[in-house]
Amino acid sequence: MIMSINTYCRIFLVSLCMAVASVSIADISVIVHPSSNVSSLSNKDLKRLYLGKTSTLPSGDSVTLLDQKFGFGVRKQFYKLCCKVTALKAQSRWAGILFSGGSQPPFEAGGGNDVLSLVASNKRAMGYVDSTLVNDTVKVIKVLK
Amino acid sequence: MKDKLISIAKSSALVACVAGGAVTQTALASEGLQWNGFFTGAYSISDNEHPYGRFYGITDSGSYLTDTRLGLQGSARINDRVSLVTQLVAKNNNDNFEVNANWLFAKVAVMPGFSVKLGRMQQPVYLFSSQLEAGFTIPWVRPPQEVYEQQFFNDYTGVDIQLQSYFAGHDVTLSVIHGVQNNEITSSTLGSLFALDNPVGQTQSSDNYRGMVLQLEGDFYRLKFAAVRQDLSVQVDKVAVNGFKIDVVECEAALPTVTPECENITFTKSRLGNGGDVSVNADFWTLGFDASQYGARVVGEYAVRTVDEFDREGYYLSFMYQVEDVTPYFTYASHDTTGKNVLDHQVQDSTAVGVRYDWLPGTALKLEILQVNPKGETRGLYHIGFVQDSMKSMTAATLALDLAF
Repeated sequence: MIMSINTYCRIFLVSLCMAVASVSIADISVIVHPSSNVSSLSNKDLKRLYLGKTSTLPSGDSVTLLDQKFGFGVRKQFYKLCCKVTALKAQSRWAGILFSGGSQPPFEAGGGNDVLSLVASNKRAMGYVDSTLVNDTVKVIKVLK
Repeated sequence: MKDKLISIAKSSALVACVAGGAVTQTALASEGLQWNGFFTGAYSISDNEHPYGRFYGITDSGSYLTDTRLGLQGSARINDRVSLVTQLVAKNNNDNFEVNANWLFAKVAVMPGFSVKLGRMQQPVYLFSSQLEAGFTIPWVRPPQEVYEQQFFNDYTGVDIQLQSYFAGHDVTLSVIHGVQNNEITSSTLGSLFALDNPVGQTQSSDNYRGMVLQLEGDFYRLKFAAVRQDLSVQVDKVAVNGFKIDVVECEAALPTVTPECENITFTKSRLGNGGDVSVNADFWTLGFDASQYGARVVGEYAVRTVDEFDREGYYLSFMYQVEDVTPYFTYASHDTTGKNVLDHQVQDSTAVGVRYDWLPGTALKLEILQVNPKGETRGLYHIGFVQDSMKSMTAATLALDLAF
């Protein structure tokens, strides 16, 4: 009976660890082209950009924002960390801005590798990817944990 | 026949744009020309045989036409500072889907925080007035009429000079607007809608529309104040400003008995004579707020319009609570008028309960039950043509599918 309880405890602990591991997402890196003048970005500026409150960097330079596909876990996590809103709410907010004659929402590039290659080939682009995907074709200006 | 052909041609042009837009979208990177759009498909039915609302036309027969519409928006980035936006919207007008350009403007970013828009734009006076047609972007099936039906026009052609600044954690935006407006209500539209034998048409215009809009936005709230003035001109085909069903001869024959209807006719004739036009100043201001935190959201607006010593004021309060993809809401709205023109008085309140379900990306389903109660022996916001028999409460149900793409 005692063995049996220990076995159940082990199974429970292993299951718990697996569950925690499955929901934990790696850090998210905000990336730009290596030749970009931007070397860092404050939380406030990142939030204002991705919620459509401004379309330019603090330096005044324009930027082309990239998003990952709706429904992707990285996108959900990014908006939660960056902007304290759900991806759904961010999408709804951008639709309101767009159809009010305002700015375009971030370009939906696809997955992390798509964002990586677009940023690597576009001097104005800014995007976010799972930090494990980052390589030397892009420059990391912020890490969200 | 000619009108039908024009309508078909316009609709075909919009479909061609949609098809073209779909092709363009795949070829786009993140800059240059982009096409986006929205669609609302809705069915509405009420328990009243008379159409409710200025031109909504919800009746007990039910209709798919009242709120159904398609919008297509094209944005072109000419260079770093100049962009072009156009929004074409097809919606029901007299059982035909007609296409109108809601937006058609060029935006010049003079410097960071300072931009100028030139062209045709939506009036920015309400919290949601710039995006009214895009049902996906508003919380309800349609905004409360007690506030949103106060303006004669939805759009204007002119200039919008905008200053934007970020100060102490708040985005502050100041817009100064100036332009002209024109709104033609055709005889055929009114005739069909209200089944009149001899309908009248009217044209409302303002050649000196000006005002300012101030908006303050923080992390969890948005405050907006707008004040505009219009030098309003109303031209009418016949003797009537509002009284489509009022028989002038019959009324005058009944004198000296003065009924409210006759008083209105006398008042109207003194301004118009036998047809013609009237010019008045219209002042309008609004104050709105939109606050949300932890899934709860409260939206409210207050609006006052003064035309020729006749005041109307309206307000609403709406409460929402989002749980995952589902957002139930409750709205209370009220409308009141003051002034000497008895027949123009419109007092009512309404309550709406509804739910929005964000089903899929860019796809929302909405169900709304609206109850309207005209008050004080007035017609509420029913059209004046139904003044005698529409002073009763109405309940309407609407099921809508909103898309944004």
